[in-house]
Amino acid sequence: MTECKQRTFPVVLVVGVLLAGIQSAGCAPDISDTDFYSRHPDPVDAQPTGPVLLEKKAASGVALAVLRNDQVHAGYNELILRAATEGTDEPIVGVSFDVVASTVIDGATYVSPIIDDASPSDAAGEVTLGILFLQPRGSGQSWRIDVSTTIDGAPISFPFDIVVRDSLTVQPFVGAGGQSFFAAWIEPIAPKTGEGPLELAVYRDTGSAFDPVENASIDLYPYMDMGGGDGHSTPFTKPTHTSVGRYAGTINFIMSGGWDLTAYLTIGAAPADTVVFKGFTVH
Amino acid sequence: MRNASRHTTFLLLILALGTTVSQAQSLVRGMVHDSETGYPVPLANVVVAGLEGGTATANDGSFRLPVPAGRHTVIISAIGYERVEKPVDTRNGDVSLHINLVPTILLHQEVLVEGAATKLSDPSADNSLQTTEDLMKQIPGVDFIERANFAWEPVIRGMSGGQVGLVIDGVKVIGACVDKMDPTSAYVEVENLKKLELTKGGFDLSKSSQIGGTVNLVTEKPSFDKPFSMSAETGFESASMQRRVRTVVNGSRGNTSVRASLSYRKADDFMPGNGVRITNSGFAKNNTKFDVTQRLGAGHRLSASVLADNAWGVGYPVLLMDATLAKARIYSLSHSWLRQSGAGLLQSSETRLYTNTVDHWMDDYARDVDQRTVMRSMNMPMYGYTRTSGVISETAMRHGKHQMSVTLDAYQTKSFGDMWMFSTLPNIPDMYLLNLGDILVQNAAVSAEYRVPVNARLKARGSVRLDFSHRDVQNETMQSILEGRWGVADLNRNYVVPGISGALEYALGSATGIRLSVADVARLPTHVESYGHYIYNYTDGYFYSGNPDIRPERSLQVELGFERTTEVYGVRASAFANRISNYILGSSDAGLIADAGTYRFRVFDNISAATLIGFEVSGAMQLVPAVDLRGAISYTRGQNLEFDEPLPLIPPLSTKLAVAYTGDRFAAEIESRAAMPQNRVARRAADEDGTDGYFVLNLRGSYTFNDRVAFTAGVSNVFNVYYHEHLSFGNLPALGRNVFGTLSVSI
Repeated sequence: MTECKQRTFPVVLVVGVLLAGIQSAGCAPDISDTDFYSRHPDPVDAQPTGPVLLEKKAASGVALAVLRNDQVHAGYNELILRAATEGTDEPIVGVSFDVVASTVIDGATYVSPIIDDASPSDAAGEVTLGILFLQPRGSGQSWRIDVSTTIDGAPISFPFDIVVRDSLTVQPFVGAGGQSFFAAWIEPIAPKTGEGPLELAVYRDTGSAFDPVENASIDLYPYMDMGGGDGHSTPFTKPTHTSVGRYAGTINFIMSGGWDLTAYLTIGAAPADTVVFKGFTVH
Repeated sequence: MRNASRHTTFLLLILALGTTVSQAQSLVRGMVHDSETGYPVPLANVVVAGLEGGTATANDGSFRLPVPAGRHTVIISAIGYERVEKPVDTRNGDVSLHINLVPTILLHQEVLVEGAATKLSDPSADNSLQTTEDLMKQIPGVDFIERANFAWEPVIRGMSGGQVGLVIDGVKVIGACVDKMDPTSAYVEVENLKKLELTKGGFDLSKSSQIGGTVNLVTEKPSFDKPFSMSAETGFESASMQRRVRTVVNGSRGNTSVRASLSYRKADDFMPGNGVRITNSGFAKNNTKFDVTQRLGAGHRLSASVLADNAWGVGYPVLLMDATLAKARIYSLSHSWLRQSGAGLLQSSETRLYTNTVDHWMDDYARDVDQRTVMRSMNMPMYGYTRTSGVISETAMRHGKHQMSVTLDAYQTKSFGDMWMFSTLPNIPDMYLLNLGDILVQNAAVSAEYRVPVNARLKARGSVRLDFSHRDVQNETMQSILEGRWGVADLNRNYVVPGISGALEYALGSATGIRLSVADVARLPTHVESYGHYIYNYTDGYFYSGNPDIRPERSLQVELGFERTTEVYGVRASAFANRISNYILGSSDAGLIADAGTYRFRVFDNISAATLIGFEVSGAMQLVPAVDLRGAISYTRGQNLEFDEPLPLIPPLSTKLAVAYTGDRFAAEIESRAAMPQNRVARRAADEDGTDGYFVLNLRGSYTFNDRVAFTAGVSNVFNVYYHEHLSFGNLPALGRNVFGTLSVSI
């Protein structure tokens, strides 16, 4: 009897500990449904999803559509012109367009100073345009975009009227010398984490036109406000003058989130002016 | 004069310890051979436990030792070999012995654990402890970076991280936590630890590219000794209310044997010596291991192993966040072959294919983020993973007295780590930081070790290793960030890193040996040092960026060792010097503007040189039969030659002294541990602060009821001293008075 107990005790103990161990082994948490995990958005999904039709017109058997990748806003936008044969929607390939964008500010008609296009149209009949909309801060501004081309020797014109919403990517300011200027953010159009080009444009408001500023020097201070009094900058190279009114450098956004970009503009001999592109999101 | 006095005292002690009983004389005679070469071992020390005198083996390995008729234990020891104890019975006449001594891996391997009882080879070591970290901490010169009451990171002679090679059965397991919260040693619980091979310094080139030492956690495999065996253990510690259970089952039938183990540990917040409980310091952990071995005949074996380790709710009180879940899965398939008989060049081989995954989640949702000083008012969940696969193959050869082993070691690891930041303040958008963007590291290495007994007294060893490393960044965003940051067209980097080491061991007599070891070795930069992106360093409070053009650290080191082992006492001493060029540290990050807030930035960079010098002395002496005195002292001094200041994370001079009684069933020990203040700190390089010294007393005892049931209990930090180790991050205090007990049962 005693011998039996001596054998039984360790067996029971070992089996008990084993069962306890097996029970405990299953208790590692499944963290797939914890709060923070479900809050992880996929940063790729935050990017624009594709072109959206803005307006479409037809004339002389040609249908011309204007599409956008994002809501049209003050500053630099990429628009897409898509030309097709009316009725069949057959893409019209190899055609070039003349584009003029204009708006009325305080009774004066201003013309957009920058229209970059990638003519001629590609196999899908598309041309991508880069258009800079400079306008005062406030509510949306009406712009007219006149698109003209020649197809089979016949000139065709398409007027489009669009409303351009306000945006922090255009900063009107009065310089130290008392003149009015616009500083505009050209690139990156959709800021994302990593190294990329940074391009700004600077124009003087003459009262009737946008006059490119060619003699500015620009310094930057990119800053991410992380709250609680903390924040940090990110590496960049200073933009330098490259073409009419345009200044290009690079910026390396080390992380996604909300960023401010302060530009210190020295125009000619005037003291430096400060322009802040505030609260843009880097994906 | 003082030395002469000590020697006299020693001799008197030795003489006083013996007991002479006048009885009929018998003879124990025998031969002692090297188990690997088969050559005789001359000058081996042969004594009988409890008796005076002894003898040494002749040049042909033979010995003759008269003993009184009766039951005795014959102890055979020789420098460079593992000690052997043989029971003999001379009541019926003379006894003949044939002893094969197993060589220690030349000179540096500190720990050899074989069989059921974990046992350190260092003479000063206590062997009754219950975690792998506890065991390693017993070794002079080994310390730990402590970030929590869990998963400490080993430091060998002031070197850690990528300077130390830490492997499991030779398998690389790369931590997934960019804050190093998941050192590989955390995945091997003591019930699975068969052998802990620890080498100080860059002398073992077979395990990895390293300059500071290697730790190979050799795990238990299925045994064919018994058809069925089980063991279980439960334990408790009061300071953290830790409770644990472990169990192991082994079964074999024919040529197949399986082994399974399972353990669970859970600890609450722990209490340091000041009586104020440390919040966010608990943890829970389970560990499961399953192995199967198939004997294929003619010395061939095929084994498969699965190890699963989960730790969750791991509090890191001095860090900004806690580990939500740390998950490791380690799979391996191995083939081994051991020559069964006959002569031949090839003696054994083992090839292991492995793959493992480590996933690590952290968050700070249990913290008051609005009150902290760094990265306040935001929650920062982090995630990281590594995926590692590789092969390691070792072949041992022998030709006469010449022995050589060749190791091929190749692996690939892919690492990812990221971090979200969700502000608790309005108008602060969510932020996302990529810490490791799909970093690919592919390493291949070949190493060879040659050993030869030059003559009866002198043994020599030489090792070479050549590492090839290819690494790159595969995530496009990470590529863009780093290419822009460093102004390079691509991040693809290749390294070819050679290393060489050699050692000579000379036997001054049957009980005394000296050794000289030299090495010119290098270690590859870690993937974090190459490509990490704004990783917070808790040592100095800076965010660190990797440097794709960082150079490998190169180390020129020398070590002089002394060892003497007699029946009554054993002593081991080492002195080392190490000059490291291209030492990797942080330097100011010129690419970022340090703002008015709390953020500071550094990049990993090479400084011109650093030095590490130090020594370790450890010993044990039999005071009276069954009572030993054990002690150890170790010291490391590190100097940054470029900044002319001490290196960071260098432990202070520390000592250990213990008196242990070991009886048939009962064992007890009283141990003191002390460390001097450490005021040699790296203020410029790491904003390191000094640490006060401490003295703590530990008591432990064990009782074996029978062959199956044993109980261990004790009290560590008896006087409830409030202190912290110098290598504790954020000056995390050590456990206060800790009463512990363990009950183990086996069938």
